[in-house]
Amino acid sequence: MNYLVALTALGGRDALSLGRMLARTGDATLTVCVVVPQTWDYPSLARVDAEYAAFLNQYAEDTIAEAREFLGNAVRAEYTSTPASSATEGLIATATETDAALVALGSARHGPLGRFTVGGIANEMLHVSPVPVALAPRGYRPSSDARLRRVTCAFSGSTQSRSAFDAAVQLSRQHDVPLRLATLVVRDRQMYPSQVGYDAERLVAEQWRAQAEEAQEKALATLPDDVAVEAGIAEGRDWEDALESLPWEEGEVLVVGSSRLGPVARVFLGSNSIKIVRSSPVPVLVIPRGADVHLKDAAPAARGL
Amino acid sequence: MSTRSTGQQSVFRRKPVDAFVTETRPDTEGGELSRSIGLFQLTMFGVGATIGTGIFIVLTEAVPEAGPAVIFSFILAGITAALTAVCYAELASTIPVSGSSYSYTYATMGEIVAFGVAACLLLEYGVSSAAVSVGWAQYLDELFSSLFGFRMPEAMLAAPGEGGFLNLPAIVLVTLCCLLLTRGARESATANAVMVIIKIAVLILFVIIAFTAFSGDNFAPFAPFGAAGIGVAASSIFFTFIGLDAVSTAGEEVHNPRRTLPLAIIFATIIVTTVYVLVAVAGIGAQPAGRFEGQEAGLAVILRNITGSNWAPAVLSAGAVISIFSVTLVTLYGQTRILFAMGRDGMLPEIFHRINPTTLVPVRNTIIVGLFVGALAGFVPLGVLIDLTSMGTLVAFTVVSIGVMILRRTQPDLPRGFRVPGYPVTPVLSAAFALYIISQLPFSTFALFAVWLGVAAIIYFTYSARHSRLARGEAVASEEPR
Repeated sequence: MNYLVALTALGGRDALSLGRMLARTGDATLTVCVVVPQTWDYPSLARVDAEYAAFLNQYAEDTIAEAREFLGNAVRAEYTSTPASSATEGLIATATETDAALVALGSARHGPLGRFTVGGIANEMLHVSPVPVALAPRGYRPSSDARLRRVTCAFSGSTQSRSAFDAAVQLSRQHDVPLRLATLVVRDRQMYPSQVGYDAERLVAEQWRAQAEEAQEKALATLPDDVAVEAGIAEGRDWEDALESLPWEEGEVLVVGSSRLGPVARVFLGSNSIKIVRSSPVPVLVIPRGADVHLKDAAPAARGL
Repeated sequence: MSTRSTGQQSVFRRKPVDAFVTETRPDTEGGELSRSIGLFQLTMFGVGATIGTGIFIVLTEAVPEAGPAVIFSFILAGITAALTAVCYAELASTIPVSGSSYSYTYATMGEIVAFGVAACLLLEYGVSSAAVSVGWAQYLDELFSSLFGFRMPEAMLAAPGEGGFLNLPAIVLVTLCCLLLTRGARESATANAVMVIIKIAVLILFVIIAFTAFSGDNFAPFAPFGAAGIGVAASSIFFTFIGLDAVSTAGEEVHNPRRTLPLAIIFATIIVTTVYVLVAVAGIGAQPAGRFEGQEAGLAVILRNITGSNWAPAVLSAGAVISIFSVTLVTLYGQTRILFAMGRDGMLPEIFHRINPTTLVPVRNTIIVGLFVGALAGFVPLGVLIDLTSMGTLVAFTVVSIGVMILRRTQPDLPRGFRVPGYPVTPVLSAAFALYIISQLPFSTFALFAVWLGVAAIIYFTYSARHSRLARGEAVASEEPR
């Protein structure tokens, strides 16, 4: 099992921390990857391109050295720099090459601390990635010996959330941690003026809760007995409120599915998932739509380190 | 105690109040919405929910029926609506959650009455949104005409009975509103306030311009059809007062409901009636009563005739197009939520209360409502829709007024947050006024209404009576002696 960590000089630590946390258990290794711009294959007469290539090499080496120092010997990790014409392209190529089970990304720098803000690269990855994408909130620093303690799956009972559910089950088995199903009940805003009273949306929310409980029971019934699982419903005025009403552990990730509107087998955030990503206090793992999820073949591709 | 928890067998079974409370679980800890509405805001809700539904289209129907005496028809309809709204407020305050008159009737007068009221509410909300979207189509056409000099062909602007093939803009409006609702769109309190201002501003503009062409001669045969004409016109007009009951449903959320509710109802009625009467006086002053008949997008046409220019009708039409859109959205929303509540009670199939996990909205319910209302709006003439709406609303209101009296006798000790002032005169008057206006409706409306109730009865006895959760003893699990 190999996890890919996308590294940049500025935002690397959040993603690295997430990778380290995930790779502590479950027989996982990390591939830490710096994507550098592609240069020409043939040297020009003035050798300016060679100078540029040397600069890029130096940059990649420095960044990798920093990452190496940050990770220490805590986890098994490989370091690589990939030349590519875009970061997304490089990351996807490396992920395919190393048979990565997920790609860990950091947040954009302008967002609030403790939440994930979608930046340029994350935006692209969230539309085209064939492998699950793990998003580290800005300033994500679990203690250096933190490990995955629990996997929470954002579950709605829809077909899309089915692949998220399968992925969450696999992740929790892989790392031997408990699984939690969480359905978010967001009480919609009331229409004013109302001719049907001011409790109409509460009625809808309560019905949704009942439906969600039913769907959770159905999903849980398909699980083998050896999976430790709990199920819960989080209610709130909005998504942030609902997510905050749940207790979170230090080493926890939240798994969400992709929209049914996106292409098959690619990550594509739906309107609810994007709200969850923005308001989640823990790292979010976005699973491609209808994915025959990669996490399940635990073939250790980069074992030989 | 065991006899009740195994399910009640009578069609007059009542839904226990506890069940309502469990279903909606009002937050007590945060209380973010509780008791937050004051007198001013509530009055504005009432005005906002009422004005704009019908005043833009009703003069065309009502003035030919009563002549200039239509002013008294407005006042008569307004008094009736206010009296009923006060009765409604008492019924609403006897159960501690807010809802529609369907819920209140279910808790107090039994299932079959509630089902009948729901059938009437379908006319009040569903059919009235169809009527209003027909009016929207007229004003949209008028707006295009004054802005671009372009008129839509009659074939796609009127129902088959009125020389057209179908009313396309009305269908488009209903479809748009339903699409918004399936995506979870909402009109906020702020948006509503803006809409109220637009509506009132546009109507004031009409009144001011129309008064420049005022001629007392137009009032000359003041009541050409006498008292009968006033009554007939009041029955058509009544549907412009729908929405005043929105005030009564606020119940739990209002500061000091005992004082605020009746005051808000009275203030809202006064404001609404004043605006309507001003519009009627200005309109009649500007043109002879005989010219109202068949005048589509009436208010805009009057402005065009007075000013001879396009800007005034364009502004008025634009205001009407915007505000009628918002009214349609709110009414359709109300309709879907009533059917939703009925679905939850087991009175309608499950399809009405399934929630789509992606949009978290009862999507199928909304689509069914959209198809039903869209078909009505596209293919049924406006006059028929207006009369049916008035019929349904008046019957529902009468049930509410009589219900208040029944409950005072049968359950005098039930806690009531608000009691009708002037009991028993108020509910008696309210019922009497409503029945009088009902009696003025044309025979064809009675026939249609009878068919409608017949269909409702068939649905009730073949499906609802058997599937009702009360009948199956499900909803009473948490019941405790009151």
